Amino acid sequence: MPRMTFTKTLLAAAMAAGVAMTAQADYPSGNIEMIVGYDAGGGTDVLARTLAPRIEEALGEDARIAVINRPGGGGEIGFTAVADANPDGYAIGVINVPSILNPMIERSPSYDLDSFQLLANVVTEPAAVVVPADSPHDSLEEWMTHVEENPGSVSVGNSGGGGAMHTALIRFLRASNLSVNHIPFSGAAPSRAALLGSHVDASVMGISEAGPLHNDGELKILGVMAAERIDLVPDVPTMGELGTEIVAGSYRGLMAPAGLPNEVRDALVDAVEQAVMSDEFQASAEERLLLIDYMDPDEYAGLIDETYSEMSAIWDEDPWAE
Amino acid sequence: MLDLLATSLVLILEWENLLAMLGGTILGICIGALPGLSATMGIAILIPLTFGLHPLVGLGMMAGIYNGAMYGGAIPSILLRIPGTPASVATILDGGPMSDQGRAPLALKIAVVSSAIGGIVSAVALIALAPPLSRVTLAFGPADYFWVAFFGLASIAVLVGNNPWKGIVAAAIGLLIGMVGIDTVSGAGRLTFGQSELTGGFHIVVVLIGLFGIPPTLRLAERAVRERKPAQDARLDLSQSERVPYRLLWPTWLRSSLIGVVVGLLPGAGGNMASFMSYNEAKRASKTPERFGYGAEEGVAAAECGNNADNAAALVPALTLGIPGSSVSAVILGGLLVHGLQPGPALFRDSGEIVYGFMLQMLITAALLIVLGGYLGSRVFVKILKLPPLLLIPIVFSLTIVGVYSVNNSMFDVFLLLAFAVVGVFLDRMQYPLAPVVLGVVLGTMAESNLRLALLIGQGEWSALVARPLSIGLATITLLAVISPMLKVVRQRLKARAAAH
Repeated sequence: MPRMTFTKTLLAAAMAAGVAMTAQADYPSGNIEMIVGYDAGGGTDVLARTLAPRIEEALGEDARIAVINRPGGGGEIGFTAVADANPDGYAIGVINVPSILNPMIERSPSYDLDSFQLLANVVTEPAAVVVPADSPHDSLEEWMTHVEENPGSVSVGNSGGGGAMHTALIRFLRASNLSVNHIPFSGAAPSRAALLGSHVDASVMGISEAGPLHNDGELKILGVMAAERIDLVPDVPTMGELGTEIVAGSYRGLMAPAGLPNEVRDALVDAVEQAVMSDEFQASAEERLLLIDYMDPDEYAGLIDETYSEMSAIWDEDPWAE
Repeated sequence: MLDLLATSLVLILEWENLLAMLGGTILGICIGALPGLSATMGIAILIPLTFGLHPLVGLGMMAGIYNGAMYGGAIPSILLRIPGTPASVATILDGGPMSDQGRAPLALKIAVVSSAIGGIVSAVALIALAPPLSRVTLAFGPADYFWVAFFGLASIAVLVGNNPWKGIVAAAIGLLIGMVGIDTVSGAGRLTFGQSELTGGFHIVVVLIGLFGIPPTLRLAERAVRERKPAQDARLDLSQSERVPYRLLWPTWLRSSLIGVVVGLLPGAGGNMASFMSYNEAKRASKTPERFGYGAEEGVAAAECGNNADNAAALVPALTLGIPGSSVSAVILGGLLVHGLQPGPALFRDSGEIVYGFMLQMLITAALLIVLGGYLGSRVFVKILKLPPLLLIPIVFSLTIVGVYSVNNSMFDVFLLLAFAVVGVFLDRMQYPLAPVVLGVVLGTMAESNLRLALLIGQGEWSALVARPLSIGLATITLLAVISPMLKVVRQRLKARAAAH
């Protein structure tokens, strides 16, 4: 019996090796799973589902991508699933910065930055400081003076404690030496409702969320944390123009588990770049007010490292969660 | 606006749109009837398939699924006491007993008519008043949401049944279940035991199927083995044609529609709360409250009318401000975005015929329920009860497990389901009422997080809870709801004492 088991194991190993070799030779030749750590129908999910067919085209006619939702823990369940997947190119996933960094700072998840092979940053969502339409403050300077006169008591809503928008605001306040009363809502929707109903003094939200409301006069954007002005809201100044150099927000891209064979990695990186640059994807992103901001894996890794060290520094000084 | 309505009516009456609404409604009823599958999931899966279609064709299917599933949930609630969707738990309270009495066809008929009426009232409110109603949504701040949730929790008193202590224990279990996960205000993990799967808390579908779905299935199995009886006694006569008691039900429909619409306008509350509040108010207003829980027609009508009246109303803040009132409306927003339709005031201005078309589709699919739901429910689905239990029970078990797995594509949730099933069977055998558990889960989190947000905004001042007229009004109503039953008891005792003297 033991001999037979041994032979079986050998055989299985040989077969597995064979499969792995062919997998590399004619990648892709089967279903690729794209793991999304958020609910179906949400912004990240729609992004993944819009991009998937374009990546299929770029990979060649045999490629099939199935989007799998593994929501939970602010994306952590999905990130973990990608980290734990086989690095054979048949599992990729959506990455969201800084959501992927938060668990690493706040507790100890079962992944770290070395668990992933980055493929590209796709969409950037700069953070914007907004006030209700009936707010007495019309400019960032006025508002900042108001905050300075009432340290720690001006209420500013965000879409989740430790999330992209909250940490963007913390970085902005740190640079300007100000403090406010952070109000962490459980999601972008309740946060927006509270701002539009003037239940908070101000709020920090993504530009694609705030932009249309600003253009309709439902709220006022005071400044956006981007390097350049945004086409959607050309009248809104950047924080840099107003004297605080800061670029912050959320970054959504694609990744795979670390340890991909080189050919597979190159094939995926090329395919994702082609997909992002495709006319169809550009057009659908523009319709949905998404700012396409392609970064190759190296540039993306640089951004993530920088964000991580800055967030860790803030956490050590003044943690935003218990 | 009338021009727009006319243009969009012409658009949605094209044959492919009619087909989409018809197909969507049938699909929705089936999705709702399958425990574990919900409208949210159905629509989310549909979205990528609508890419190439005209927006109104995709939206027509979504409207159909939305309205269909809200009614479809009532079918297993009535026939098997298993909630098809989270919003149909309240339907079990009287739908289950009606089915035991052999009156399942009538209960299903009442459910379908009530769902249609709730859906129609809600859609009319959406079409006629969407922009002004969106201001109602904005008027509610964290303090007001706290009072609404507190009011809902106070109404557990109506649901506790004969043994108040068991009711309170059940509600406390619900609060405990709702507490699990990362606390959104402080960021601290609570009762997660280091499991990353628990950081987001329990999914309501997993809790509901475990607590409500498994115990009645096991009871069926027990009956089948011990007494060799089918799911339903021979008393069930499909040819019987008990009429829907319209005259008895219209006050309930009126009240429940209103409650459903208001709850729909408040993001975060959802159909679950709408149906329970409607049920409670129907019982409170009834001259014969003792019939509730033992097969009262008004109980089924209130729950089903309330949860469908929530539907279109939840789209008011979603379409006008991009603030989804429920998880379903959040997914529908995603569907709009796919077609480049950005919610907000601009949507009504720039794509009027599509918005009004979609709202009309909500109206038409609600009305379609009477035709489709009536037939499917009382003629096709009711035959489930005639299935031999040895066939029915494995089917129900497999469906619930597949449904729960598909919520998060997670085996962990399936194990959780089994754990909740053990708790559910235990509570069921010890005769603890299960409805307070659900309200504890849903409203406990809502009350807690909003209380803390309100206090945070008010920088620790408790007066922040009654700082505005709306909050004061809601607080007063809540206190009245808590105190009035006590006053009744006191008055009765005084009367008894006076009579004794």
